[in-house]
Amino acid sequence: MIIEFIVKELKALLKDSGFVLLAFGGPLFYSFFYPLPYAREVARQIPVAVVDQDNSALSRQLVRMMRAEEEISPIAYSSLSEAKKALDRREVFAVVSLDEDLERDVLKQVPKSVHIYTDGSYPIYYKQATTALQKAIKTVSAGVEIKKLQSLGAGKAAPLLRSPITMTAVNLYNPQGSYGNYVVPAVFVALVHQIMLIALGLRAGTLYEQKKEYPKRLKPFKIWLGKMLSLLLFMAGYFVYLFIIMYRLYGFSGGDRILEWFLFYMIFAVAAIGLGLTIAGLFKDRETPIMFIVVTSLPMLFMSGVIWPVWEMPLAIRLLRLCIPMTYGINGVVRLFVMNVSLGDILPYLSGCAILAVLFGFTSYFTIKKRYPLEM
Amino acid sequence: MKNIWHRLIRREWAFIFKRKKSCGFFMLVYPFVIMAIVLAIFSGKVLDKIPVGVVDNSSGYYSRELVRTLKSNRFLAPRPFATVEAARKALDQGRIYGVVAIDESYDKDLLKNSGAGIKAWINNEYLLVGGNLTKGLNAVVGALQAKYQRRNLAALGVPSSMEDSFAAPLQVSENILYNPGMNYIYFLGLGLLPAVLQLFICISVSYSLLWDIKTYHARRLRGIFNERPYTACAARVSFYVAGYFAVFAVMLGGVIAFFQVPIEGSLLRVVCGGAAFVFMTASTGLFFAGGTNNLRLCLSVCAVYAAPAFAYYGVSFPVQSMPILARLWAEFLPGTHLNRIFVNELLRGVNGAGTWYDILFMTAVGGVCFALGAKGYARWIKRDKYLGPQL
Repeated sequence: MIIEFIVKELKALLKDSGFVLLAFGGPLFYSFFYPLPYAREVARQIPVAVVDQDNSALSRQLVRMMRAEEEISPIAYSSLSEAKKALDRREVFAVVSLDEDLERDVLKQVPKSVHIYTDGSYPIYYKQATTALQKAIKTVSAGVEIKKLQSLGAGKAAPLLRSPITMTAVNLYNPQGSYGNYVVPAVFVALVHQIMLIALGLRAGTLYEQKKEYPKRLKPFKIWLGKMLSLLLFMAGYFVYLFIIMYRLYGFSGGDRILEWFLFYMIFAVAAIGLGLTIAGLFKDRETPIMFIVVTSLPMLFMSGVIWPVWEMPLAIRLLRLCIPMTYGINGVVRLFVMNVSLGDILPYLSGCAILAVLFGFTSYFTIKKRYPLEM
Repeated sequence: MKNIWHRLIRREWAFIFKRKKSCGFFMLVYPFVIMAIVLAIFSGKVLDKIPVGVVDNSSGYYSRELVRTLKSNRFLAPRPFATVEAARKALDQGRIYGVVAIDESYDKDLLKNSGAGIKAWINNEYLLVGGNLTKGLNAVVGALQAKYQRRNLAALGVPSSMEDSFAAPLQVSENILYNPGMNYIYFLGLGLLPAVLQLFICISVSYSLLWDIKTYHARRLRGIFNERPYTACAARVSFYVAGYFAVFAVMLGGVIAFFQVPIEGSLLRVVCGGAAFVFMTASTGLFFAGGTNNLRLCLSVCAVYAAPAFAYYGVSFPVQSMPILARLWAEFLPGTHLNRIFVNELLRGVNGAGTWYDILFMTAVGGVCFALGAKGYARWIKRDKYLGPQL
């Protein structure tokens, strides 16, 4: 009986062109479209103006060091005013000025500054350019310092006298600082969550407009169970496509804990379907769900805490985010799948998601019961 | 002609305030709700006090000095842990975002000048947090490094007046232009405004236009559309352009006041940019309506067009660093141009010519979309077979 209903439900869903477009076209399209801007992962070869007024061996060494940094691409300018104009026009994102007496002053033991002018209005370019420039300048400076220390008799200990502390920093989970790795797995979860919400609202709205009714022998619990199981099949399909095929295709880090993530994902899926069915009960035409749900995607994604940390959010937002399955799904994928931490370490997220699954399971059942015998 | 404008604008007014009140809510209330939530999320403004675990295996004078310096850094909120394992576990559980382990021989090595070791593990999956954490750690280590280096130079007999030339013969003098406080929230807060509005404008315009077709109400407009299709479309779209321009102005004022965004350039150009943005987005809505003649399909197209647009604006990742296809697509999104105008006029106060280019580009693309959309939309209205069921 229940299998018969599932088959019927699946057939009905596949006959609904709006649902099919959203449920199949959505993940297919967005799985390519969303990661596209981040395809190069980090900003490289940022144009930087270099005004070498010294033209000495030291200044040329500095320029060579800058050229060796992959983040920046130095371009020679003859004057500072010309370089600053280029900065204003955003043709370059930083200006380095090497003063006329640079080498002479260094040799004369006069500390010398290399002036860099950076564009703070583009934070990502600023960060990359300033890091690369400081690295290049400090490397050249270190060479000079070590030579000077050796001339004072420091011998082989010179590097250690110069840098008494050695810090070894290891970037975990996303070592290259890839933006794709940072954003896309979270967006995949947001995508399936929003598709479920919109598709269920759209379907319920369409059926309400058509005023179709279930046969009397079908009771609300069986309808709820059949709907839940048939939609879980879709969610399982998304899992295979997004988290097995596309995830590997893009080469994101982690991805080893597939079974544990699948278990977490299915609990998340029950919560998302439950929420979708509950909200669907509010819609009486097929277009309104698209209007009202699509615009919630961005705030829900930000609320998850992946882009902006949770401790910086106000209490009301911190409480609100706890009621959204996407929050748990995104934190689940990031921690369990991308960062490869164990299921035990994300127990608060898992239990939170399970509570929502039960809660929205109940609310969705009552929504179906309320609209019964009308189809939804 | 005047009558057409008057009649159609009154009709749109009645549509959102009487016939379809949910549309009025969607246009005049919902954008503010969404924007308020987004602003509240980022109300912390500065990302500091990042929880970081500290394992002091040395427990000596110098390691305690290091812990004190870590505590004094604005980006860091150190928490003591007994072992590296316990700290790494907390890192995995997301309770902290980095671990600093001070070597057992740290104090001894520092006194012997044999390289005192610190190990740091940073959760770089959260890029903003990881970036600020690294910045904080580097600042702390750099300050202590300089202090001990001067001590070593004194021990080698370098007079204090010469220390600078030995410790840092080449110094970096950095001048951060345009956003000297490096307030990331200016950039993000301003970038979110077009992301939110683009979706609302596009959906509202297409909804209003195609609702008439779906419900057969468009038949009553057939006379006007037969006579003056472009004027009729202009009148209907202008209602939403004016309404959303007001929404834009209030929102922008809110963002500027809330995040205390400076206004370095011309506010007039920002206002013109906002008008061009609203016009281009509304025209895109008309273009989709004229191209699809199916309300549900059109709303889906609007969602496909506008929902992922934020990723292409250059806020989360620079446009110049995107692949060519993504760059081309970004240029056809009004938010990319408005974001540039915000950066140029509010943060930088330079490159007015660039701003005018963006304004003209949006106006021109908006004009083309309007012409094509109006032609398509008028075609649907003219024939009964394209209209929905008569109610």
